[in-house]
Parts: sequence; structure tokens; C-alpha cells
Amino acid sequence: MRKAIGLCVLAAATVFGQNQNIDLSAWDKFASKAKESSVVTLTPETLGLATSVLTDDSGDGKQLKDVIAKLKGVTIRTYEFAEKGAYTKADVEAVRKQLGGPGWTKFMEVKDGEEQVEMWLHKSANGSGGLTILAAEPRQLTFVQIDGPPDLASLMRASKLLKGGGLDGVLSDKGSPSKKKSSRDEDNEEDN
Amino acid sequence: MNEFQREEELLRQGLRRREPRDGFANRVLARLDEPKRSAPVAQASWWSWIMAPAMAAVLIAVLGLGALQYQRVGRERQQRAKAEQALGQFARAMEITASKLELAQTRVFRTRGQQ
Repeated sequence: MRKAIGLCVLAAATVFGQNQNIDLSAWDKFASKAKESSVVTLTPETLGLATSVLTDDSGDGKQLKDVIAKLKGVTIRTYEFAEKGAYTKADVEAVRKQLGGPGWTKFMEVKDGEEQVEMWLHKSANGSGGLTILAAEPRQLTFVQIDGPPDLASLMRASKLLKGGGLDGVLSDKGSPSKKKSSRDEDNEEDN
Repeated sequence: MNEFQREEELLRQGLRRREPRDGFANRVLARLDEPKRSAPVAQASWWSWIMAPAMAAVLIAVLGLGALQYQRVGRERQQRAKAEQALGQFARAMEITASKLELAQTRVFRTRGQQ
């Protein structure tokens, strides 16, 4: 299924646009209201820095390097609130309205009760593309923007490799590939 | 001669005047004319004047290189910490991305199931 979604995303990413920088200042006020929040902004420089500690000796490390190397930036904002109603539709709209326009394609929208998840693809004039996710849940508001090839399978794999902060098998001078079971092996086991 | 007198006689013999040997005065005068022999003084040899600054230079070089190495290792550690922090942020970003993709996937499956 993930592969199917990935292919769907790649197939849909054929439109060209201009600017994919989204102004998220409307959400700044949530930093103090939220129970938990995560703000991650990774530039090409910080992504390059992140790859510098990944090992080439391990298959997992190499895979991660390949995934990160293709990315040009990552922007994440997520706010988790203690109670419902911490944000309004206008707050979501302030971000959503920036997603339309030339170069943007909404390829998935799921509404389920109070939950709404939208996935957008964008492609710049210079050929670079990206994926944007806007998720509005009753107690959580999330914005994800990945600048780079919107390869969901790779992103999911990267997430799996890094899950739980398990960096020992992928760092350049810590652990060894043999100590950590490769995720490919785990996938094979799951498939079997 | 009693014991007291014997001891007196011995003392007298010991303290009696004796004439110096012949030529004593000449020998004394000759010694006076001799140049004075100074007490031996520890003199620094020529190599110690070269070795001292050389050793100081080596010591300074070793300390300097040590300080540079210490700074380099410190910078490398800082760089490594920043890189690991960046990777940690990337891991967090991927975790959030994956959770939202899974959320969308779950909702799609649910919607399809209802249909």
C-alpha cells in the first residue's frame, strides 16, 4: 500500500509552480498554548551536517544518507493541545490558503469527523518538488513540508530506521552493522 | 721523679722552640710571587648555551601543538554534537511525517471500508 501511495505521489508530481515557502507565523501563538510542540526546520546545510555522522559501512546508514541527500529542506510544526478547541478553522485556513495556486496539487484529502488531513505536492520552476501535509485533529495541529522528491516509501523507511532514536547502527563510529538487524531483514520477516 | 714532674717534662719537650728547615724564608717568598690559584668555578660549556634555548623551543612547540590538537578535538566534538543534533531533528521530523502519513492511510482504509 505504501509503495502504491508513493507511486501515486510521484505520478501526481508533474505540475510546476513558483514558491513553496509557507508563512506559518499565524501558528506562533500556539507555542505557549500547546501542551507539547515540535518545531523542526532543517536547511540544506543542517541536512548535510546530519549526513556527516552517518556511516557508509552500514546498509541502513547508507540508505539514510541517500534519502537525506535528496532533500533540500524539512519544516515541521506540530502542536498538541490538552483540550479541544484550542485552534480555530481560521488558523488552519491561514496556512491552507497558501497551498493552492500554480505548482500545487492536492492529491489526498481525508475528512473524518473533526479530523482533516490534506496532502499536497508542489513543484518549483527549477524542477525541485516537495510534499506538504496539513493535519488538523481535535487536539493536534500539524504542518509538514518536505522539500525534495516526494518519495513516501523512502521517507517511511527513513522513519523506520530512526525510530526510537536508534542511531547506534547508522552513526559513523558507533556500533556495527552486524549488531543491529537491518530494517530490510525486518521487512523480509514481516513479508514472510 | 713523680708523675706530675714527668708530665711537665713531656709538655715542655712538646712546646720547645724548633728552628725551621733551611730555606724556609725563601720558600715562603717564592710562594708569594706565584699567581693566585682561584677556586674552581663551574663554567657553562658551549653546548649548554645551544641546548637551553633548543630545549625551550622544543617545549614551546610541544605545548603549542598540544594546545592546537586540544582545540581541534574540541571543534570536532562540537561539530559532531551539532551533526547528531541535526540527525535527531531529522529523526523527529520523519517520526511526525510517518505518523501523519499513517493517519491518512488509516482514514483512507476506514473510508473505503465504509463504502
